[in-house]
Amino acid sequence: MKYDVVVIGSGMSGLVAAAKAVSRKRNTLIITKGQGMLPLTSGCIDLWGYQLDNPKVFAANPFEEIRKLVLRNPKHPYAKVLDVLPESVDFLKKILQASGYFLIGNIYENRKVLTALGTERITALIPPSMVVKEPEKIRTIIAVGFKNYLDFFPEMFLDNLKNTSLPKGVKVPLTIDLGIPEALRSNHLSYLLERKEVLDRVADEINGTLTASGLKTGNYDESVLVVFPAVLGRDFDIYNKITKTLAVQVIEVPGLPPSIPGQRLNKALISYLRKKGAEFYHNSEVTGYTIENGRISSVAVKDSSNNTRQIEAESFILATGSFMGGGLLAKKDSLCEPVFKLPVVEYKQQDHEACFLTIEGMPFLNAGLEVDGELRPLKGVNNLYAVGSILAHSNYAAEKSGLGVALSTGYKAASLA
Amino acid sequence: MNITKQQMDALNNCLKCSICVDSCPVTRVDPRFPGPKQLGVDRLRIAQETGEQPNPAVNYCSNCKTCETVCPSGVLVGTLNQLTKGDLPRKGLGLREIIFSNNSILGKLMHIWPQAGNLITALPPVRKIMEKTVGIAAQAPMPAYSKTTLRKSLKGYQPVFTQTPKEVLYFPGCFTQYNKPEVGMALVKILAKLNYKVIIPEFKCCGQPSISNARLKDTRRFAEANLRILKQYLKPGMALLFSCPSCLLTFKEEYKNILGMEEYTEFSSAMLDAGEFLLKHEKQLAGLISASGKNILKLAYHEPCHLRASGLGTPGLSLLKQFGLDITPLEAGCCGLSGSYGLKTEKHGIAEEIGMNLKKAIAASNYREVVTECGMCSVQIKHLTKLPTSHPLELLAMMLKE
Ligand SMILES: Cc1cc2nc3c(=O)[nH]c(=O)nc-3n(C[C@H](O)[C@H](O)[C@H](O)COP(=O)(O)OP(=O)(O)OC[C@H]3O[C@@H](n4cnc5c(N)ncnc54)[C@H](O)[C@@H]3O)c2cc1C
Ligand code: SF4
Ligand code: SF4
Repeated sequence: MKYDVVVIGSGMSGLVAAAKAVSRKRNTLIITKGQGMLPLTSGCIDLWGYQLDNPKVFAANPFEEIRKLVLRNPKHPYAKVLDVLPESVDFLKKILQASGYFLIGNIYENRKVLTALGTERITALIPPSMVVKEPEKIRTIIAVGFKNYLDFFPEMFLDNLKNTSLPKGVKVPLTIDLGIPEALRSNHLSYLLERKEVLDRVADEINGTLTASGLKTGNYDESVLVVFPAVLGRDFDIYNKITKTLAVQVIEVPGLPPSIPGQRLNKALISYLRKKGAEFYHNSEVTGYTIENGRISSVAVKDSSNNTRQIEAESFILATGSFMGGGLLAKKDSLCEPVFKLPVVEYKQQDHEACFLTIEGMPFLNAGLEVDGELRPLKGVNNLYAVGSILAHSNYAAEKSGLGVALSTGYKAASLA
Repeated sequence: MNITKQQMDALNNCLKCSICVDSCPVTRVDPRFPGPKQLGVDRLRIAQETGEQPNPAVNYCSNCKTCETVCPSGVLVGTLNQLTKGDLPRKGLGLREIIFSNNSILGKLMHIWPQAGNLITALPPVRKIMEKTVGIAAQAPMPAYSKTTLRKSLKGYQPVFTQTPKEVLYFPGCFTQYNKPEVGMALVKILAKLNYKVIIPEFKCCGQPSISNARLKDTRRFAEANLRILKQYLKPGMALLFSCPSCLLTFKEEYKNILGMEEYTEFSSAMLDAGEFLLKHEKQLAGLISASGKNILKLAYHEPCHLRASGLGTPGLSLLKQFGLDITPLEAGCCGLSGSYGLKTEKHGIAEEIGMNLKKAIAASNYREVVTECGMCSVQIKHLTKLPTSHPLELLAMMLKE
């Protein structure tokens, strides 16, 4: 069977590429060795975090900074996709909505999100469950932790809030004992909260605290903010239910990876793709390719018992990620891209003037593939595209640009493929 | 337990990202199971140096292999867990494990009078006794035995070939042999139309049940017998087809990775999922399919974990879609039953809880039927949803022109 588009990798860049391809009615196959980094992320989509001229200060308008960036660093992946950046974000919002998932925000405005540590993090697009709707009205903040859950400490969270932009108010820590003697993991906690009797119990305890503080009015009370760790279920059902039951403002705050909001976003994208007919080869690794008359005609795909078969397609999108995803390998004294053996640009701190971004360092993240204006990494070969964190000249950790670069490059490649 | 160098290297590839833990269906519903990373990777690394005893919690691993499928670094966590299980000191006779590991004997026994067998094993008092004595949960869904076996069904069947047929081998597996011979019959009929004669030697059980029941000695016995059969029957260029994804996975991977039987490597490119084989004959098959099959309405597709773990996509689903059926993949993860795992008293609750996800996904739309390749997944689906189930091969056979 021959496909129109084969996407290699199922991280954010591969999933968005596949989504764009199926929306163009392209017969699409995703071949993936494992999960991408998306389930590890906070579920917040970074576009650009800091001011170019003052990298210690948050950027208010990420699109503005990106526009400046591409003039200064025309090799940056964003320089290749500036034309489609706004529409790529709109596209993602639209397809997620079709899976009952929502993203709040836009490309012209960064937002502050509270984290499980009680600090603030800057990002662009966030799930509704992380939005503090009316911050200025808050008078009381209740932070809800769970006994034996070690990723969220209500006291510490509340204490750290003093350094944030949230109004000062009464702070109430609450630790709920669900009677689980073992250490609680986020995924188990999220499973428990999906059970009605557990959610009811949690709501009762919080309501008890509200009543004890004389705060229970019976009507919606926007002066109270209840904060959960980000464990409110695999879709937004739990968030909606608890918000309705408590009748106050509720948020969940992202913590250490892996994270439920990241998994939620991953799941929403995959379920969209499945509904639209994209096919998947899971646990399957692309190990080589065949080239005929200047076009990639097929890739060699290894199943779990090391058997290789050839899969043909019109176009191929390489979305294999950076070092963690397995798209780039660090050999003893060089870097390599193992599938197409493409040249990898290495990066040492002093190599490039772009090391104005040294907030978090990790210059090796800038290493990767160089592509032309249509995201093609191989000169003379028109049907191979490279997207996402495998691209050179971008450092997601320092720039706060990871999922933004992934989604916009994935979108553009699949618009062309 | 002996870990090969390759397995040790794979252990060292672990990034500690915990993606496997958060995807493990058992860890999600039961915190007593610390999960693939802690039990598999971390503990083994420590044990390699200290000789520390395995944690008995590893018995709660269902060998669904979700962890291996999601791991970005190719660590065979599920496989390592099965090896670790084999190292645990055994308590008592383990009658239940013996029964599950030798389910072909049970199949033969039940087939002396299958209707009576099904009736008796459905009686609540009998189930209570089974629960008390051997630890098979009274509430667990029991796979019903078919009125006839595949072997008997084939006796009365004579395909007509217009030209000299080519030959393929087929490994039906215990479930097709004793519980659902219709699947094997469907394959044989489709292949006859494609001018293939199907040879079904007297294989032993693949041994997957014995792997998850920590009776690796049984597995070896089966694997060695099956190897002798393969050497005798599999001629160069011939394919060995499987309709059950778990049997295929066991032949292709587990014999090598768990038993260290490298001899299977040379056959591994001949071993194919039946759907994969049919996909290679797609054009020819298209000419044999009648459009009337398209009247079958609104199907859901459940991808068995072991098919997903095999890394060969979903060929059965591709075929059905290609021939115009309205079929939607559920993407709801493991069904929970995992072969005999969910039949056990102490694990039945876990299996039910894992299955809720699938139940919810199926309830979300008005599906008429659920399609899946795995026999035990279909038992669980029927139990959870009361909907009929079928194997892609059965639907394809139904769509064949007369
Ligand atoms: C811990 C952590 C937290 C983060 N948090 C955030 C955040 O909150 N917000 C944000 O915007 N960004 C965040 N980032 C950055 C962001 O996650 C990444 O930049 C982005 O996800 C990269 O996506 P990708 O698709 O390029 O690659 P990846 O997600 O790495 O995906 C690569 C895919 O390719 C597959 N693959 C690799 N080789 C092969 C092969 N040969 N054959 C088949 N498949 C193959 C892999 O299995 C994987 O599916 C975070 C990163 C990390 C590590
Ligand atoms: S998913 Fe793989 S790399 Fe990550 S912790 Fe598990 S075994 Fe290690
Ligand atoms: S095989 Fe399945 S049950 Fe066992 S550790 Fe892996 S994911 Fe969990």
